[in-house]
Amino acid sequence: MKTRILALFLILGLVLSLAACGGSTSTTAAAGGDQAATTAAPAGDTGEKVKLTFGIWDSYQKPGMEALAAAYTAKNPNVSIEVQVTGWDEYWTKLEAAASGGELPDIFWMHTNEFVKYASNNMLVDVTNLYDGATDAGYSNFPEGLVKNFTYDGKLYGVPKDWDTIGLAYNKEIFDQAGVKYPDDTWTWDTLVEAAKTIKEKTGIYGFAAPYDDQQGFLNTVYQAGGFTVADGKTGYNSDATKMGLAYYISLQKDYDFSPTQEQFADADAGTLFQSGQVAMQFLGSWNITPYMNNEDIKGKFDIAILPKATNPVSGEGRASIYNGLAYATSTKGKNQAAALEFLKFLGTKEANIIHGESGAAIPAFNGTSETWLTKFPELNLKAYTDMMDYGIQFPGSKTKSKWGPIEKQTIMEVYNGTLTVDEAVAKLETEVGAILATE
Amino acid sequence: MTTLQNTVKRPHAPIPVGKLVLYAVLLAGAVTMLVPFLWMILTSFKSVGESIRVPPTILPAKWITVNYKEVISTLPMFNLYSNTILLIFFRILLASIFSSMAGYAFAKLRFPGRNLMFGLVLAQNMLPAQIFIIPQYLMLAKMNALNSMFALVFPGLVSAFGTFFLRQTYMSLPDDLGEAARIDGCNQWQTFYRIMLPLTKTALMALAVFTAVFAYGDLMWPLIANTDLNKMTLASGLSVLRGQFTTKYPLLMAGSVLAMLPMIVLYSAFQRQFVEGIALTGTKA
Amino acid sequence: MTSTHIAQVKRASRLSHDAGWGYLMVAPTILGLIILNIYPFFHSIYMSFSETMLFGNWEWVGLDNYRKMFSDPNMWRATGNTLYFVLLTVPLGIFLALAFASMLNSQIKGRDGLRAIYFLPMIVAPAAIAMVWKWLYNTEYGLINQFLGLFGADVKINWISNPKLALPAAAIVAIWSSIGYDIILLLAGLQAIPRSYYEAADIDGANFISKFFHITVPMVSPTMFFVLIMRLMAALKQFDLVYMMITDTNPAFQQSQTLMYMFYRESFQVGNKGYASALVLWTFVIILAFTAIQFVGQKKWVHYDQ
Repeated sequence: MKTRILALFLILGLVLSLAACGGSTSTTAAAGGDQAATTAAPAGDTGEKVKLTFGIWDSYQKPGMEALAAAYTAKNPNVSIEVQVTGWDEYWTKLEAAASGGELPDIFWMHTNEFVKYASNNMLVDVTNLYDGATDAGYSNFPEGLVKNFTYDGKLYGVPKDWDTIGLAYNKEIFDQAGVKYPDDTWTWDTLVEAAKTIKEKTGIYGFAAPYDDQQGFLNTVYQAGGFTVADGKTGYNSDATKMGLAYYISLQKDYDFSPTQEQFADADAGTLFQSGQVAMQFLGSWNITPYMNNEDIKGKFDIAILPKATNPVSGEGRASIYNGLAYATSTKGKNQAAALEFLKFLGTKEANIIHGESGAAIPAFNGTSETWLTKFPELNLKAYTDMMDYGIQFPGSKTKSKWGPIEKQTIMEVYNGTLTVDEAVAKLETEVGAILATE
Repeated sequence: MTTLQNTVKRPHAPIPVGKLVLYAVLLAGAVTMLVPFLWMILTSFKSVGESIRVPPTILPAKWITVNYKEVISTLPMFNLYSNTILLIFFRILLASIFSSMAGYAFAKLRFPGRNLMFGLVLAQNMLPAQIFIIPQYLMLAKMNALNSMFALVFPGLVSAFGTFFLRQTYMSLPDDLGEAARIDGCNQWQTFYRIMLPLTKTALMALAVFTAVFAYGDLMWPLIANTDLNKMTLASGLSVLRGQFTTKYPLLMAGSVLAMLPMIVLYSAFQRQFVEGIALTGTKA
Repeated sequence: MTSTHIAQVKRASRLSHDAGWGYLMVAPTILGLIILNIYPFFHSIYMSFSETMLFGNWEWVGLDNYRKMFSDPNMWRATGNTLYFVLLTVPLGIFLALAFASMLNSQIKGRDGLRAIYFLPMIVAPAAIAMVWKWLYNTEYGLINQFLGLFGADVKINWISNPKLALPAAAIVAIWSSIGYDIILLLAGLQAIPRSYYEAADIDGANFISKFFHITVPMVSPTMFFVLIMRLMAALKQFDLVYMMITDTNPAFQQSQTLMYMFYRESFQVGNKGYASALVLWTFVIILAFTAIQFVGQKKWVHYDQ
């Protein structure tokens, strides 16, 4: 009995002391749920207090999103915005549940993988005409590919937020140790292989990390060779160019000893290995820059170059980099739609994009504002990423991607496992993915 | 008689080999149980780079406390603690009351449809929790009860696990006790409440522990049912520390260590009850 | 004769009296189960016969999902993996739990502290557990390979990326993390055994083994039965651990994906909730079969004190 009371006091004391240090992060009270605040008036834009919820999935970008919210509420003091972070693994389950129940956040991030699902089911508000009549805003200010990504049935359902490209990250210290010159824009596929080999021979450290990866991996080399996987409802797996690109990327792991094997990647992924100085180069998406710079192990030791070009592309120049982008969207069933749309409109302005870029969260989508992102880490050659946008290829997707995506992954994994050859794999993909695309 | 005399004459008998082996095995097991716990603590004092470094280090090169500071300032720890404790409290209360009654009835009473109903209880245990999430969410949405303590408690209003467990417990209590009580004039309820229920103290303690641990570790449900960070539990609150592609592990570990403290204190305090429970349930007719 | 007549009347009235209380006492639980769990279950069954278009829109496709499922090699592999997982975790897990519970029930110093330590894995963050074990199993630097390397040449076993070893490796972690639960349950059962039984056996000169098999095992068998059923169901529903340790780009993935892992991917990643529901039904049938066998078999070894 005594120990129980003691325990309760201990817990109470602990809890109270933590309350002294920390405390609540939200300013809204209302024990009876948030219903009271948000159901006040259907379109609260006449100076009444409105609270908007803003759903995101990356805690690294929270400060950036909060900066945007602060800038907006400074000019619109009757609105308060709460940024809610949900871990990536749970974000989509939560969003889906919320969508089914009509409880979506007022504004939320949307990803190309999931976009069609939501747009085709009337979950997102049509924002095609959001900027009608605005002078210096409007969708012509965003890369065409991004706008296309969030268009469904001719209508636009999201305001582009950012774009990311793939670059070549390299560890300067290891290069110095091996006496190899840093990557530059003369590099080709062959140069990459030679450099990786030299590094492995001279230092014993892995030269290049080539794990199974689509966006940061084989899709880049496939397009560099002049091929394509899925575009405009058609498959392009079974072409010489695609086979060349795919075979090259897989060979980096399987035909040489300068890359860890797929088994080793299961123990520690490419990012972990690179940040621990265990591998000299990797294809790296621009979204990794802030986390990498947060890691004092690798900070200052690495830099970025543009991706090497294909030595003998079947068609085209031999350069490509996969890009993708997120968008902001709002729900058709939101209770504060008018206020949400105002905030959404703000997010797509040049001013907002500059704030976004300066926060370093991601490369802002508004044309001409991407330079602001470059200022976040001036010691890095981040220009490589923006340069790659000139050769940018939109990350392949379609309405049924959630069905053929896993098939693509499983089939290509079988090449890594040795149960299929590249030729067999692309033939299989051509048939199976083609069948799924035909249903669209 | 002789043995008694022997023990009196030789108070310091040598420890038998069997006991040594016992200790060795228990200690070895204990070490493996402790390793992740120690890992959590050590990682919480490391820098981000060091925490994911390959090859891994054991002791931090430099002990830093910034992770704890950041967790406390980023997350509303007080609310997370109180929500979790309240949730555990309500779930234990509900599980104990309803499951005791149902468990007793399934074990000791006969009524038509009993086996069918118990089958329903078993069936629920056989299903994966994921299929309940969205339907239960929708029910709450309709009731406009999302984002509240009620929403958190909702899936635990009844406990199929508890019912099954207590049914087994009651089945191991002799029927004669019930008979004796009946002869003395008790009705079923009194038999249950006065005689049988007190004998299940240890089992109830075990059930409380399980309910607590499950409620404590449940990540998905509070995340989905409650959107306000201040209304979440510790497990779900900590999950927002995960990035899409990388996680600041030291931060997550610092949060997890802080989250464990109440559970450890609670357990240590109630462990006494466990041990004392023997005395009451040990002796039987 | 009169006495049996009275007994019959008494029994009849007691039966109806029983029934009244019976229904009353199970009512809250059964009601709750029907609303919270059985209704979603029927919803799942219905969904398994449809192709879901998300957010509540679906169309009936009859047995299509089932046809697809039974001709899907991935599903059969997942079934095999799941059954293999049961084989790996249940017998060994229960044996170890009973052994440790008995040890922790005996008169030893520091018993309370030891019990608390065995309880720890239950409250350690799952992320921490996954991280630590992945590190222990690491091919190059993991403690396990380093320890084995002490006995000879360098050991470089790919614990979680070798298709033959990945599932057993996960099974070890599963046993390790759930032994705390089982120990607590078994302790509750062990402590219900009256000391007098053991004392009587001691007087008769019984040794440890004989006491264990003639007193401990029979008396704790109802609890053991419960632990067996729960372990069985948990093993057949296994998802979290395998999901955290073995991703779909791991060469060992096909040999490790369990039925519930497949369900998760189909339901939340592919978005095909109809097919996913069929998988749940299939898993349920398997669990039902196993459970039924156990319930029938319990008569052979479970000893309910009368």
